[in-house]
Amino acid sequence: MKTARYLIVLIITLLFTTHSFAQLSPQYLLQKDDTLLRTKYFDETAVNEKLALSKIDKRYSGDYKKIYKEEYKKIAEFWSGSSPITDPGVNDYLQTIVQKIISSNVELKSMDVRVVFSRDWWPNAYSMGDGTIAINAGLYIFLKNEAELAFVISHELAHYYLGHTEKAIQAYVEKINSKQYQTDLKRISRQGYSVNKQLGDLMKTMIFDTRRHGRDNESDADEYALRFMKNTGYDCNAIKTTLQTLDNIDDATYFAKVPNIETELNFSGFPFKQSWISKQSSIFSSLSDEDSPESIQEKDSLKTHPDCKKRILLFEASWKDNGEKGNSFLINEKKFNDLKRQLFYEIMEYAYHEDDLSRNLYYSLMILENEPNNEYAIYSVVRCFNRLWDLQKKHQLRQAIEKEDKFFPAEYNLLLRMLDRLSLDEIVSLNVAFVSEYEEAIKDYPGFAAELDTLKKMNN
Amino acid sequence: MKKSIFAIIAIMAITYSVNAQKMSIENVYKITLRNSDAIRQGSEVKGYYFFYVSDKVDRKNNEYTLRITDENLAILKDVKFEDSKNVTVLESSFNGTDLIFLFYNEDERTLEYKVYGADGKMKFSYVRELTKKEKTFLQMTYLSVNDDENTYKGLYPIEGLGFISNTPSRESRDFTFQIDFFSTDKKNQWTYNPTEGAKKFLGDYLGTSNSIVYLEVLKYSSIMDQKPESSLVGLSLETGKQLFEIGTDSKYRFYPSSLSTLNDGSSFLFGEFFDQDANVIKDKSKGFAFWKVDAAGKITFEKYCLWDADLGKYLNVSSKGKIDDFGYMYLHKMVQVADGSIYAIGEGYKKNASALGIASKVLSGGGISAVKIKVTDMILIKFDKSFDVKNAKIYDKNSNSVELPSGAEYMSAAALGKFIKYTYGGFDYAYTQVNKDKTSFTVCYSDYERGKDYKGGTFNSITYNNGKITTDKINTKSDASSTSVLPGKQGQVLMLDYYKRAKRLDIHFEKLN
Repeated sequence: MKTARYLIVLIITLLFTTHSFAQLSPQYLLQKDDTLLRTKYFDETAVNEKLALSKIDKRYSGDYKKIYKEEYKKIAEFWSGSSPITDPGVNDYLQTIVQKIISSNVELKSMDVRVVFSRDWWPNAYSMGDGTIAINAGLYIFLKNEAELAFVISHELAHYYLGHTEKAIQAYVEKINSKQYQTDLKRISRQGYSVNKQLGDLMKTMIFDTRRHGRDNESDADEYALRFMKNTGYDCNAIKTTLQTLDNIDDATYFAKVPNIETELNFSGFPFKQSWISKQSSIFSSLSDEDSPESIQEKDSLKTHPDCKKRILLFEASWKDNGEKGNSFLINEKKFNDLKRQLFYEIMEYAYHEDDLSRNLYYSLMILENEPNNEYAIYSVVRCFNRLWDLQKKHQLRQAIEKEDKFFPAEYNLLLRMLDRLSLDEIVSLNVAFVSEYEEAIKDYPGFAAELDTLKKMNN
Repeated sequence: MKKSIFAIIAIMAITYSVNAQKMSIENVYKITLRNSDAIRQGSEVKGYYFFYVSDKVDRKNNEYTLRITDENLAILKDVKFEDSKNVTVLESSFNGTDLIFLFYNEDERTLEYKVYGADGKMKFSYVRELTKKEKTFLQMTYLSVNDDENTYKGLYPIEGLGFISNTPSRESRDFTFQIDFFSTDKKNQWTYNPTEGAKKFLGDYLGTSNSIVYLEVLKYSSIMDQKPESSLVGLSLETGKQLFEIGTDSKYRFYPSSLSTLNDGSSFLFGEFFDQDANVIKDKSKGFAFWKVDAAGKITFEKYCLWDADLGKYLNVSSKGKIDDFGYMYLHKMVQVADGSIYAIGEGYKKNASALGIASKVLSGGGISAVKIKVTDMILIKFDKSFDVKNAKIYDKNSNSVELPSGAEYMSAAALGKFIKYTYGGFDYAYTQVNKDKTSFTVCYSDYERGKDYKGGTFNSITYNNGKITTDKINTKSDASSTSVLPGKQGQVLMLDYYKRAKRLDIHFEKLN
């Protein structure tokens, strides 16, 4: 009888325990790597490097070798680093779209490509020249449908198909070895005076030339992407909508509301201080554009990409909408949408693992602003403040906090300013006040107890 | 961010160097950083300047770039100009509205003060031509001290009105000093250059309060005079006219070293005091004093703290001001915080026998003094609003020695302190920064450690924050060829790591805890 009663108590206890854990979202962990796939890609890069080096132009082999070695080193570092997402749950979806595009375009069928999502926060996608193509999670979260993702992939495939990297390397090597360039450099070096000014002019001409080719390459890649998209059956209007998104990307947000640190980090026990974010008076209050070293025309010529508005005009000129409606989704709409939330978490968690703490805190506060009961975000804020304290104590904070930048959202710049000004004691006090506000909500959250212990030690 | 959208790996023309037989841009392109410093408004860092030779124009002239950044190192302006190859920037300052740079042109023998307005454009330029004698004198004094702390520099901001400059000067056979005021709202300048009644003048700019410029002046009847006359001089900020000159004798003989403004806007002079018939250069001081002096030169308040009776309650100090294991105190700065308490920030120094000096005397009869100075620890003394001592604490640091010239053994402790600071830059104290609402201040100083785990330079801080005092230390030794430290925003320092082989300068901020 005694045993039976004990068993009942145990079962009830277990039931409640399970129930209480079931109420909490699990601590988010980075997607697991497909180690075999990464090793395979890494090995393929090494093979491609050997192949590329065996084919270089013998005339300027030294220059080519140096450049290719640098480029392949970057690619190898990419595959051996932690930013590529090779987890099958994420990667398989991407590969299905890539294969759909390749199989629909005969000219792409023989291409050896390795397309992957990367965990990086900034909205970008890039072709590394050997078939490695990365699409940053920071771009994916702003895409509206599969057709827009297909455009990004198609654009990068076009760069690879058209051999833009190889051509750029070739143009550069031939330029620096050209008779004219060498004569100019020798003449300048012999002169002894106004050398830097003349070098500046020479360099400017060369950079303008390179950037102009770069802009032409972008337009060509857009044109080929249109063809690949059309053949695949995706809605080609996605090209225009993607370019419109990119045109306003600096102001784009994944969530409806951006963090408001003045309210989110304001507690009765530790009120928010305006001195953390107040603007300092500057030496110069009103500098005009004419103070900039480059003219507007020069600035335009220095861009690597044509303006998105210009790209949209070019697209509209070449796209005859004859009513043939392509598809916004061909593979899986639900997966596309679910992946956006997952990749947002990937960016946030990866930022913490890379000690990019200002980003981690910004994204955590962003979730909390929109979902005030999100346990993962609450836990993430506590963990981040603990780590900030630890690094500040060891004088290693500078690697973990970005500097204010005019391209960053205003709210992020305020957070950066605040982190720049918080003293060691204030970090602890702020975290203690934050925990007091949320402790009840996440006291059983996995990992929270350990963070609380750390905080208590800091507070002593 | 937009720049990197949809990028293919860009091939940057300047990234790749090529082999030696072939020319490449980076083996022809050369720039040389001549000097850099923080631009300050009082104790607050408002930005930085980097002055470099950006090109050679011809045999005699260079093209210069003066890069001005904000306090976060964001570039605000590049000022490019051509000038003689022997031009350097000596100092800069910011007065809340305008920025001033002092350029020295060795070839032309000129000091040029250039004022830049809030729009970044040059407003005025003031040129002072130096005689050959003045140039030599300046090279021996003002231009010879190149210490990191800029202790000898003398370009002071007057909020929203202009700048005061204090430089040594030479008139015929007399050695004197020159105070200049440069207006920033219109081109207007006045100069004060005492030459009457003495053969040698030493002047310290103490500060400006209620439109009166306060100076401490020592007058020597001859170059060899060992008992100079000390006086306090008040000048009109508007005209430069002398408003008063009073002797610094009252109950005691006062030797003011600086002027500080209290939270209520009133200002007080502080420094050491002596017996009335004492020689401030040779004799030992009795303690330190605080004076308030009005526009007519009348002393309206005086307070004297004795070494033994007042400070002795908190530290083991003799009646001559010598603190056990600490030595004498040099007062660097006074700060009044929001609750009204006043903190004095000082540093210790002791006279020690110099083996080198004794050997020098035995072998050649002179050159180096038989005593040397050992610079010891930092000290923080707390006073209440009535200038009564409420606490004192010594902060240990490793001592370092300063060899002195022959004759220095006869100088008083107070005079030696000034000598160490202004002639040798021998103190470890760097600067003090106070936040706007005066709830916090940070005292910074350098040190050198010879420990098991670390051997090298350190940069240290004592921070007061709402009544709580904390200390911190940053190791400045790295794999860089050399490291220098500049002040940053309060609670931060700017570290400049120079890598000689790579010809690279890494600049970053460090927070002080």
